[in-house]
Amino acid sequence: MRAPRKLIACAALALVGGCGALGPSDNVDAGPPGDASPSCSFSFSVSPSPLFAPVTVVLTAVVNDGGFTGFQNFSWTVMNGGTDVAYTDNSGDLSEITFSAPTPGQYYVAIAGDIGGRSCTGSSTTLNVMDPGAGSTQYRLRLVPAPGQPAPTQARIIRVYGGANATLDPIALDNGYQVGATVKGPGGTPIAAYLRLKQVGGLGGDVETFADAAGQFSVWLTPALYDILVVPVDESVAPMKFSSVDVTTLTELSVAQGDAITGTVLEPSGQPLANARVALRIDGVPSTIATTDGGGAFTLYARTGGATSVTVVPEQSSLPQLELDTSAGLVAASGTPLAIQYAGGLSSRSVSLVVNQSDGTTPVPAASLTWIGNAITMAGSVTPSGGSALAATGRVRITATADGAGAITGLSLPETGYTVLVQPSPGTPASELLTLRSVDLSPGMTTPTSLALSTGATITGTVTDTDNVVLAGVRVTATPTGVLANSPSTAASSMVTDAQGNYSLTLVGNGDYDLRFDSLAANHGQLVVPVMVPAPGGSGQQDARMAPAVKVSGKVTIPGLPGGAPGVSVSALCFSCSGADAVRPVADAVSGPDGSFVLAIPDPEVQSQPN
Amino acid sequence: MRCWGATVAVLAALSVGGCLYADTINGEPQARIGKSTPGPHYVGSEVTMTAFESTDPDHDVLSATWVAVQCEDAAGNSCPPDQSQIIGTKSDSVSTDFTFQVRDKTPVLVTLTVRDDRGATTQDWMYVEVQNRDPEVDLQRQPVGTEYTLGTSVRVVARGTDPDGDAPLYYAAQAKPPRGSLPDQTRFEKFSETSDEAIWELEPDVSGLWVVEVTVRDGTGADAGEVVKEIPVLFVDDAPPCVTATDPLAVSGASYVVDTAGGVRRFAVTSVSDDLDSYPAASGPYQGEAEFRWFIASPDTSGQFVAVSGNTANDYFVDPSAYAPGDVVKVRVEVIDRIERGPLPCADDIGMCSYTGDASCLQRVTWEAEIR
Repeated sequence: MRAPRKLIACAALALVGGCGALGPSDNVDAGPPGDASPSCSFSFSVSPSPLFAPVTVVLTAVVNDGGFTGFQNFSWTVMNGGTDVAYTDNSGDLSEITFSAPTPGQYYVAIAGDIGGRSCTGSSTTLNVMDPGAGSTQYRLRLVPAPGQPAPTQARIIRVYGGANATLDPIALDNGYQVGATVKGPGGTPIAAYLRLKQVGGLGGDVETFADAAGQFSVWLTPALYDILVVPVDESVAPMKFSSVDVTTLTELSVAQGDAITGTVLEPSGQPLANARVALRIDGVPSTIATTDGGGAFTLYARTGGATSVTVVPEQSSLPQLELDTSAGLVAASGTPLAIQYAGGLSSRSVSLVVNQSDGTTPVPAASLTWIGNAITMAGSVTPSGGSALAATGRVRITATADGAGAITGLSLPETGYTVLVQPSPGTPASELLTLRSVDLSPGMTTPTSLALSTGATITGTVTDTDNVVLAGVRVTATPTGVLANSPSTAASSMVTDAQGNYSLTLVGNGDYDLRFDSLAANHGQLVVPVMVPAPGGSGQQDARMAPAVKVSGKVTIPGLPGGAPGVSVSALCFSCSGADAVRPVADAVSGPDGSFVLAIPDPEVQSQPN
Repeated sequence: MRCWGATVAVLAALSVGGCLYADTINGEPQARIGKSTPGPHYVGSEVTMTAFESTDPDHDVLSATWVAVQCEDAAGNSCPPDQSQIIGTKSDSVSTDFTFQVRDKTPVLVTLTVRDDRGATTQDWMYVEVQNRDPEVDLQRQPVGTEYTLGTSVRVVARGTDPDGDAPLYYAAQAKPPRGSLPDQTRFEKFSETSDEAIWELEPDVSGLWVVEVTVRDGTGADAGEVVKEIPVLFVDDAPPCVTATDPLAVSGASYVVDTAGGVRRFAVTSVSDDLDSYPAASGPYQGEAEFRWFIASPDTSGQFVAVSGNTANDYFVDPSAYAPGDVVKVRVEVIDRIERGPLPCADDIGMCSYTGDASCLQRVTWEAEIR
């Protein structure tokens, strides 16, 4: 009787606590010493579910008498905020009680008692009573066990209601299944490889691991079907995707060399292009990466049969990177060579210039310039043997380093428009920051003779709560996005607000950033604000109002680890986001010695917002 | 009355030129205070005096009247007593002892009046000096502990009391450093002071056994009492922080495969254990959140590690769409200790590094990713 009632309650509450589902750790009375068997236990069910204030909560005792007979005596505890809450005896024998929860919050409920004088194991839980008008948000909870713990990375979906803290039902991680298998290459030889495993229909995201030189790998997984991508370290063996693999029976992954794809790459002049990297991606699975020989020929290995994209990366060449995406309709096949030809009209320009400091006259030795070109349509073509030429797009990303005099000489670049990242070198005054410059090298446009650094721009602001009280101790992190992403000298900065709630960051002028506000005290929910920084030398203001966080408490257990699982990384991730927002946690925690953790999740009811 | 009668009789006898008889003249008793309680005496002490040594030449029956007055003017002279300054009185014809309790630190003037049973009285008096007692002090460290990590601040709390009830109390302290400390590199300052309590904050520059010496005085004059007491404060070196969990797992010599079209890739330190600054931050008066130093090596940097300026957060995002298949990107993170101990003892090409050589306590972690 007990288990079904609990399951119903838990399902209705969608994992946000509040049901009488109680694990062993919730026991409040272990019974008399030495009384190992038989034993009795008291638990209870809760209704209604979920609980929205004001509500009259009915608690019904669920008795496992363990074979004991006699009068059943029940003792209840109901508390809210550390204060006893009055309850009413519905049944006359306290087997069912009601209490009133007029306001949202957490209500602690416990039952204890005895049968015929024999003390029984009790139980307790914390009920989450929510605001009836509260908004709610779903999050994906990613749980990564500490290294060595016998459980795989897992995920849970939680719904967090605004306006009140909440306690999750205990999260019992499954031990899962420890997969130990071997990756074998052509001829059955064990090979080292990278493996990416994705549970079919699962929530937990990718699991990554590596097979060693003996081809062996070991990883904890949920017993289920997985899609497994194997990327051999051996560059002559094509990566391979295994679909819907039952990992409980997995002992070996055999990776054949793949289908040989041949072809040639020719310059605009029709001459062979040597030392170019050629890579395919077929149905999302990468090929090996080939390098063209002196005759422009290449051979790579891939799993053919699907929509194919092609990338050609010239090395030490003024030619752009060629890209043919899958929308072009190419289906690569073994025995069907690919003729890759740069467009004959593709022109390039020799660029010589000096990199100066912001004063325009002081050269910057060893400065680096990263040229990010606009897409060049019709930059080339890919023609499968016997097929039609498919137009490929050109893309340029070239980094050049200035000499000791700050000069770059004879840099050959395709003629197109560029965004140039002008990066200072070590030793350049700290006030000289990476600078974004637009340079148009399209036909007919003048080549600049110099590019200058700039001093950056300032973003200042004040962080307050929703009552406009300033917040000290908020870490403000500026993460560059767009063309600045991945660039090390972007002044990607972080600082903590002062006692007046103020911060000031010097960033790249005209750069795009995400400003992330994290309360170190975890009292307020994370806030991310995309900003575009003013032009170099300028200043802008970006205030922020941070809403109180909902404290979501939980406890992680793993079978075999009595008392809770310590050191489990718990991340709350946006459930419906994409891009960076999908992988950037809104709250992080690590479980303590008893497996407990607290996440400070933005209150769905009161949204943080920029001012 | 008897004395007067005798005198009249004598005068009458002399005036008539003869005396048939002569009555004896009553001799005055001799009052003498004896002290039965040895000194010194303090506020609150009970002092017992005795009239036992008083005598009467006529061996008359004596009775004693005691008055103890505690009063001293600003100049130290005994002032005229009023009722409020009388700390004890006693009239007794049986007991010779008188006990009183010292009320404050001024001298007690004890007056004994002895009367014989024929009405003659004499007095004796005595000053009982009251000694000042030194104040007492209790010293504690906050937070309570036996050793503290260099880089934290420890409060020394001195709670003074005075057995005489003297107030206010005055506090002073000095920090005695271990060898190697530079005075201008240590912060030792009074945080607060009341008569009941004074608090100092000590944030030293070197580890070792520090001793804080506290002096508490119960006045400002030369005769003020004082107590000097020491409390040791042991500072130990800041232990290096340990990166205990990363996401993804950092595997030496292994390269993750990142798809160019797979969206941004997050590299994060998810757990750092440290005595001061852990991640996530632990609760505690001197606990903070760990900070990090990030580096990236990519084709843009010619494969060399370049510091990501200013980013001290626990994660770093790589946008693979900026790279081409075959590019190798390395992301490195080093956890910053509150007290920097210099560069890590590892060459740039060593991905995982520890100050102590302990592989389970890394301060540098490097991920490698191959773009596909």
